[in-house]
Amino acid sequence: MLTFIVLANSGFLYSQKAYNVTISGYIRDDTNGESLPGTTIFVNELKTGSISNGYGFYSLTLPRGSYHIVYSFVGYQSRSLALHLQRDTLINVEMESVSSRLQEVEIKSESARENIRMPQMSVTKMNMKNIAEIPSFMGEVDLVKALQLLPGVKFVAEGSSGMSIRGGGPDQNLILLDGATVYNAGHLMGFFSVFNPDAVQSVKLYKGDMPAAYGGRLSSLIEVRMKEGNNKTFHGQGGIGLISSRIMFEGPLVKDKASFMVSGRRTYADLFLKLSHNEKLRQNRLYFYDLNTKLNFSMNANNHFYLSGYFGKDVFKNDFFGMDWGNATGTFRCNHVFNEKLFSNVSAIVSRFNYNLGVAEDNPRAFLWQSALTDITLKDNFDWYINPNNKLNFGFSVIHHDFFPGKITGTGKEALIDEYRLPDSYALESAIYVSNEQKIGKITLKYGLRFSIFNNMGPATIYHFNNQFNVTDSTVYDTKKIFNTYFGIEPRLGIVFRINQSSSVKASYSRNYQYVQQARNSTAGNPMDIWFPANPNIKPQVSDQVAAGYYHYFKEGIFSFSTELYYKWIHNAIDFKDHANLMLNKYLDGELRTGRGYSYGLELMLKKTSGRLTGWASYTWSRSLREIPGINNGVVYPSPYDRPNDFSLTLSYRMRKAVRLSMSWVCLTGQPVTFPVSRFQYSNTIVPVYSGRNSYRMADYHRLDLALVWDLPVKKQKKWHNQLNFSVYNVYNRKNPWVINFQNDPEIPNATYAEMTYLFGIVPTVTYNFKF
Amino acid sequence: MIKLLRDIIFILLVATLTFSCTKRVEIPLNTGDVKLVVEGYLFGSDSVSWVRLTRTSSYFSNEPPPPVSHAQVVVSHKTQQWLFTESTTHPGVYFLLDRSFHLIVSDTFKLRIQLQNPVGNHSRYESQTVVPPLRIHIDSLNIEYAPDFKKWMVRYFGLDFPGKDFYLFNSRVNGKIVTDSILQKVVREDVFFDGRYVSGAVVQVLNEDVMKPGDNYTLMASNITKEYYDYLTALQDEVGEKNPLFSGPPANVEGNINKGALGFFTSFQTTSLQVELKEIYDRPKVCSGR
Repeated sequence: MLTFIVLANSGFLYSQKAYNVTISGYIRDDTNGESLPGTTIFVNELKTGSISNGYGFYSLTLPRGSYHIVYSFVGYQSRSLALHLQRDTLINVEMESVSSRLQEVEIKSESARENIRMPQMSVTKMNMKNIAEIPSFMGEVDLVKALQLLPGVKFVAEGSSGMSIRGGGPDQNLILLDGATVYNAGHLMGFFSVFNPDAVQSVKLYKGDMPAAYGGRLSSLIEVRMKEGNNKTFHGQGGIGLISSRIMFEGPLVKDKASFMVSGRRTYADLFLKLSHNEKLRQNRLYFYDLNTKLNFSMNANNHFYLSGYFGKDVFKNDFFGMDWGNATGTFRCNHVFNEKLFSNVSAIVSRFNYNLGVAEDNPRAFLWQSALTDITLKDNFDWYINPNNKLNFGFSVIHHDFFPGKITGTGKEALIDEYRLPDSYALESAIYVSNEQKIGKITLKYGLRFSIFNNMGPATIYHFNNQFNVTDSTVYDTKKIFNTYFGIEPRLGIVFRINQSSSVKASYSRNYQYVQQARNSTAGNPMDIWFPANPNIKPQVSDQVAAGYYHYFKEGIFSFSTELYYKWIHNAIDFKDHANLMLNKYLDGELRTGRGYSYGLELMLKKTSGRLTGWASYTWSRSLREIPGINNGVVYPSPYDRPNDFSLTLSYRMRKAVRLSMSWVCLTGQPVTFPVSRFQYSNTIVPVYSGRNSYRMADYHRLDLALVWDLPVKKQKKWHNQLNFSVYNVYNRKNPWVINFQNDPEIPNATYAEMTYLFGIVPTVTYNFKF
Repeated sequence: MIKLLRDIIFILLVATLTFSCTKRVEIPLNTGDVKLVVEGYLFGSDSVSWVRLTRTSSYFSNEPPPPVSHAQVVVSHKTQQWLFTESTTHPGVYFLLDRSFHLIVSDTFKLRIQLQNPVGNHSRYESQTVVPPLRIHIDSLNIEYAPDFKKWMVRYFGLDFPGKDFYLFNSRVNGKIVTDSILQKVVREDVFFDGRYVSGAVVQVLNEDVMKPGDNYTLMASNITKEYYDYLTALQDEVGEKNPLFSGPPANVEGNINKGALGFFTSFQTTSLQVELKEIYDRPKVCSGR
């Protein structure tokens, strides 16, 4: 494929003699030195341009001459440079943040146009600065909750960090924090996400049409980038909230060369338990913490190194019982500029999620239950700016998965168990990829191919099942032996046709393979849901997605409108049999049922990006269905994430220079559920007889949240900035159902009733934030 | 143990958050087709075997299950067969009163039901069950009172024989069964303690008002088939409370009666140990017996 693309572009290489000057460099924030990925570079005279890559690097080859080059990035004042280019030139650009200018600035940004030009579909980027203005639950600014306000993105349950994107399950989202996979993105059973707002720079969401450099999940890529650390001056920021406090420090180690960032967050929800009248409840401890760190070092203009880490844990314990779970990731990256046209990024990454639970060791029947998943990844990615019309991206990645699904060890003197252990499993997930972005007049093409290989490695025990899914035999494989291989050819195609300077149409097709998935049978999930690999019993899941869209911006980029239509097929879609046993089950493979899934929808979004009033409105109409033999009698049924109508309105209004009022209102069709249609009695108990799976719906969900952000006055010469954030969750106290249970009435024999559980009524909070 | 842990985590989580509330809601439901329901047991010589025949009814009917009377209920083993007799006081309940009936371990017994009028479009239904060997023996038991939960916890001591076993535990207080509903029964498989001496596993959790000092408590233990174990655990899933964190989707519980009828026909033998509940101490251990 690489050869093909190079040959296909040989004409461009030959004609490159005409383009004999290349400008390249990094684009950074002028106040803190953070790189600005996705910055638009536009040449006014030629009406062409480029965008900076994921590390803020850009390259543009032009004929010799004089040009006005405009650098634009959302939230920053555009910069225009008049250049007389005679030879290859290194131009590092620093851009000024709008907010730092402390005055109203109209953003007549080229960035809005960028979405018109680029062939990548279904992608949204959000900065923490904007996310922080959205009303938050309990004052915890949460990027995952912000993503849930976008079209095509739905929360899986009230308050949950789990997301369904275009009808897919939460385990079909590849969540990367500085390149490292985050296997469990939720704290406190998913009510808060693991991303500390102080440590995060931005998040980018790809709804299925992933770049060829990424794969392994069917539904989406969520790329979260940590701050690099201010390499100019020392700064800090933090906050004290209702349930947590946080602090972040950043500063130069060597000015303009090396910097650090360290950030921590810790909740103290358990302090409220002290107020309880129940003595046992008072003894419970329940908290989570996060620690984010990053170091970066610019050795010279061509070599830049990053080292980042994340450590987070939830702890829940009392005198009798204890449980903890958490993620740990570590990323080492090296950016190397071979020349003004060739950029590479090498990453070595470790990612781990584990949980432990058990009964206190002083209990004679104490036990310890442990589970973990560890990935070690090596990636090398290259960007080759062949000429202004062709940008080639290629590379490889190798992930070593180490699955430790579970072990229970009796630790007390009279323990009921010695040791019970599920067999470990190991796998290699590798990929090579190449893709090219090619401009041809008003058309830009994106064509790429990802070739993925998945190897199951020993030591392993694989159980064999008959047609009734009963175990018949097993095979034991030796250490390091590769005993099963799957591979996938994953095309990634896209085209954009620019109708005019302010509108375009796009279409794309992408295929994704998913080799690792989660044993999750509930809608919201919990930390004990283990991940398991494809193996001889479980084929990889495959999705094909086609999409088309129309994009338009008007009023000089202040407003933008987009609409996308998509259809997605999932092959070998996994669900679990009725009453599946997914915990500590050696024969987990026998609990799976596979079939097909499909989803389709229409997404609309209207966005206003500047002025006193900013925000967006989004509407999605979609369906998500499954057809799996052995489930629902083989008849098509709605997936748990099938919620056809989904509307959200997110607005932020600057009332005064220092006061902003924001709101978000969401309204979506109720969750599909299975309700009883009759009943029978067995063993003096009334047992429900159910309808087809998910053939009923809960009441529609809607909720209004408000926030008032007040920047307190700053005295001259004082560097300390204070802010108060008043937030109200569920303003009109809507009782949205979390679950509906059908119960036997304990008071009246033979009587039954339906009972709704709802979680959060109106929740007002205040958070104090500071910055220096 | 897994279910217990799940429940502990969930209950404590929700209690800790203290944000959850419940309220009764009116939900209009459709009514499904009427089906025959069979609840049938074959016991050893210590108990009378019986079969109950009822129909399904609408979920909010709030009436006892409609009985199915005047049926012919027969159980057979190889060439022998025995006829059940319908109770005159409990319509739809059929007893096996023939004293020549006895269980044969590891053999198959078949059930045939001939209805006077069709239910669920059929008049003849069949099922069968294998009699599992009784491989459990109660060496001792221990009863603790857990003041935090206001529950009695009954612990079992005995040897688990090597090999796959599925157990059913019930309780009797002063001769009366107190675990006659699905959620009160305890079923266990020996996956975590196969072939080991089981020293104090909790096999019954009873409300504090179920018994008092001076009462005679009896723990009953049975080996059951895997199919019946799966059936009971699935029933417990369906009649227990559900939540989005841990519960799978609701689903109908498949029994072992043919032609789409609901319910289960099973057979098991029981061993038991009776103790007198003497007094409550502050310390958890209150009573033990052999």
